[in-house]
Amino acid sequence: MTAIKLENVYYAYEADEGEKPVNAVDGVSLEVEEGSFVAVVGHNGSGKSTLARLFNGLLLPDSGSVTVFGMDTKDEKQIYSIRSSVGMVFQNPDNQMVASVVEDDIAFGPENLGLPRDEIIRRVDRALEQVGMSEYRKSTPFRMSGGQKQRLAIAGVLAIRPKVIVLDESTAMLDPKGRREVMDVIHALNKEEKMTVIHITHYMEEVQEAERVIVMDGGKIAVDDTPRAVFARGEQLKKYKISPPAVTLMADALADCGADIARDIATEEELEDAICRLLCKD
Amino acid sequence: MRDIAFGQYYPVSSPVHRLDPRLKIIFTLMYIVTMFFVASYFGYALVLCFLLTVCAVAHVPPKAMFKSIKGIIVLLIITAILNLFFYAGEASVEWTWWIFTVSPEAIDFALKMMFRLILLIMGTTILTFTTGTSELTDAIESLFKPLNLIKIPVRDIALIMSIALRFIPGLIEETDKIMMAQKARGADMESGNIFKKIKAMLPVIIPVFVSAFRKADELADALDARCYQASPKRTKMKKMSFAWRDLIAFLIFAAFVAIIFLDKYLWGGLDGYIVQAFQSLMG
Amino acid sequence: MPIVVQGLSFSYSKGTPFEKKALDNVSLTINDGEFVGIMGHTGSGKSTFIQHLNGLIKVQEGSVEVNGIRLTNAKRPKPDYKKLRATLGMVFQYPEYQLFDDTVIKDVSFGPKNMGYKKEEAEAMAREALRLVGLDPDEVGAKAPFELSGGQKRRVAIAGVIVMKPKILVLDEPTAGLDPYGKEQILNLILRLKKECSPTVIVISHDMDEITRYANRLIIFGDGKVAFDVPMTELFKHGSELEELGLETPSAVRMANALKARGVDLGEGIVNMDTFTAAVLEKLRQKGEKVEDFNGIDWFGEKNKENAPLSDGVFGEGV
Repeated sequence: MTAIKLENVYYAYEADEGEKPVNAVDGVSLEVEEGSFVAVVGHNGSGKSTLARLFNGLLLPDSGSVTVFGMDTKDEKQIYSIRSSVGMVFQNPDNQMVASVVEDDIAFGPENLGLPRDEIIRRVDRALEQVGMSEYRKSTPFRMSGGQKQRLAIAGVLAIRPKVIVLDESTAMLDPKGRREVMDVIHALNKEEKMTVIHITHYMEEVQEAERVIVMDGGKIAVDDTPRAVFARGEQLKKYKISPPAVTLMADALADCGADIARDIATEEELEDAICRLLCKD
Repeated sequence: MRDIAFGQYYPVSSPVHRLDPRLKIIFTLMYIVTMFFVASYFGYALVLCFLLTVCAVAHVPPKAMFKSIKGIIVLLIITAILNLFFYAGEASVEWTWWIFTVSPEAIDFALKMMFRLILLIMGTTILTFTTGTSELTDAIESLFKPLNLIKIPVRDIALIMSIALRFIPGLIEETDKIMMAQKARGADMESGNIFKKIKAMLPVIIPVFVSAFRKADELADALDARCYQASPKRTKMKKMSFAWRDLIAFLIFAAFVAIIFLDKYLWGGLDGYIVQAFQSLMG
Repeated sequence: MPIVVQGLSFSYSKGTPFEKKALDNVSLTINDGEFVGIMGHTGSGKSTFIQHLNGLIKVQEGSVEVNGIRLTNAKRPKPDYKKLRATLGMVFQYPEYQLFDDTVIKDVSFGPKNMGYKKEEAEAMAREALRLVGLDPDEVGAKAPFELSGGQKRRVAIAGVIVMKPKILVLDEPTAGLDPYGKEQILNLILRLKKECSPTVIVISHDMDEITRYANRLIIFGDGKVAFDVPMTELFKHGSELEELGLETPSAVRMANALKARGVDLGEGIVNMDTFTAAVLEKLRQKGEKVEDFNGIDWFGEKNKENAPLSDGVFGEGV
């Protein structure tokens, strides 16, 4: 089933007086299958974040349509069904928490939905379990690490029981350990709970773990393929101001200098094998 | 700046923490009013004993409560001096030195004012020590619910309060950071007169404001994404209901208030004798 | 003149129940011309350490000496903070958040004005600083900082620090929150600044692959102590220690070690992608294969372009 469908979507932010508005999203058509893990990459200003905000009706397209499980985001009556189907986690964990105690913050979404009390408690319990933070229920997030805070932000979204979770550069402000924690959580959600994940990121190692990569450039979809196929187009990617992961770059550099090494290498093991094939023979 | 003790929540579990927060707010208000009826040193001693007992039951170290006075120490000294030298009431004896005049009554009055202030602050900090900010805002929301009838959006106001409280520590940290960054660029924020100092603070205040607005923008998106205003009937995870312990707490508190009032109106200040003894000693 | 730190200890909220030890008897020397990378988890003491270097935190115990300016817990003599801060420039995390003035040129000249330079002198210095960070003062000088893009704002903020031509430049996570292209540009900018203005550079980072590409010495903080301090060229010997500290081994080192176990010894001194690639090519050459010369990995296809922004002399500098 299609979770999110975009048809010929255009969106432009209001321009300053006397200036022409530029389309931040410029004619995008796209379908995201339920249960898939999609990474979205692109340099700053390529339209990724605007795209993310179109997915759950935080922004509405100037023209074209966005449908979420068959519901049009322009339909005002459906907007809260849409927002509870497409959860969104933002970049700075500090700026998306409303309460000073963990459980109160996570309860915020279900409270807004007007759910009965015991259902809210069940959801808070479950959401904390899903992100592995159950023992922090009564704590205050202020002194926690970035990774922990961001996991709580994810729990806050999970408590509204979305079918799709959109992460808008949610790993950008974290250290490597925090990034790993967040990635582990969203992979578990995708694999074990069949949740659809749309992960917007700058980190190519995270992209490698996705099923599908969408490269944005100038508000348009530049490439839409598997990570391996995308990274094999080294030269083309550079044009979009993104770089393949370190191993692929090294394989590329070796191949450029005349070594017999494939350009679509995606993991360290593959590169080691390829080098070994050339050098281990003797 | 990081050492502000006021409003710090002590995250432990205790009978006081578990009391209905609405009741705790009412207690605090009653406590503030009662403080103006304390008539004697015996009364102040009683209040102090009461606070220490509450601290013990709440598992809050009394040290933390005393620390809360640190912030108002300057205010305390100033009021004490003013009361001491500008006491306007009757005086039995007067000791004069240069332009200063002091009487036993002035000393008595100044001391009582000081105790009153100290105990007021200490008592109200117990509320913030034992009640989380979200509990507080929930309680305020519940107490002011009747205002909904006259179209005051109590729920939104409570949410704004709760968010404001949540963002304060972050903004203080941010201010610290920006202050350091500007100092590293040679900014001098300590010397000069008051106007110079205010001007010197602009490179800190402006970025903090900008940052607050940026945070607010992101937060607005996050609120929307989490279905804020989805349902006209927003529910609450935490149910507030009076329990037996609330009734017991109420009785204990009522007894405490009763003694203070008895001391003032019936016994006429139990320590009248002490003052007399003091006067005869000095006289 | 180097930086000499001796027996430096520091606690936050000292003397209260909330007391927390942040630095514990840290001693180290950083020599002129070094490019030092500092790593460590949040709370390891690394930020507290660098804040000591220009007197933003008062020394509690031990001493710090920067270019002959000595900081101790003694009240007198009062150190010359202005001179210290002109000698050691500090770029904080997300430095663009500290921009405050209504034009770029005014903001950048804030430092020199604080140091007592006249408006015209200060603005001339600001113009030069903007040029140094790769911005055209005529184009951006009169603009308001908020009109600029994220990467440009960060450059303006860095200009506001290097405007005093500090001999030592300290940067706290200078690439945080930027996209890969923006990161590359800032890193290249730091190399340029090292060459043209501040010969000693200290960078705090979380990214091992980034640090190994640029720094020539790695210091790791843990629990308020210096847990690890080695020249970059010897990093490959310390893989297991890095893991004990909860840090990832650089991928090049990991692969070199794996290949060694399989019988391909790429030799010593492998720390980053460039040295790894060069070593593999050297091996192939020794085997008689025809391979071309390698001059560094080309991240964004701009290395050999004339107008490449700040990517001159990127490679082979740090190591």
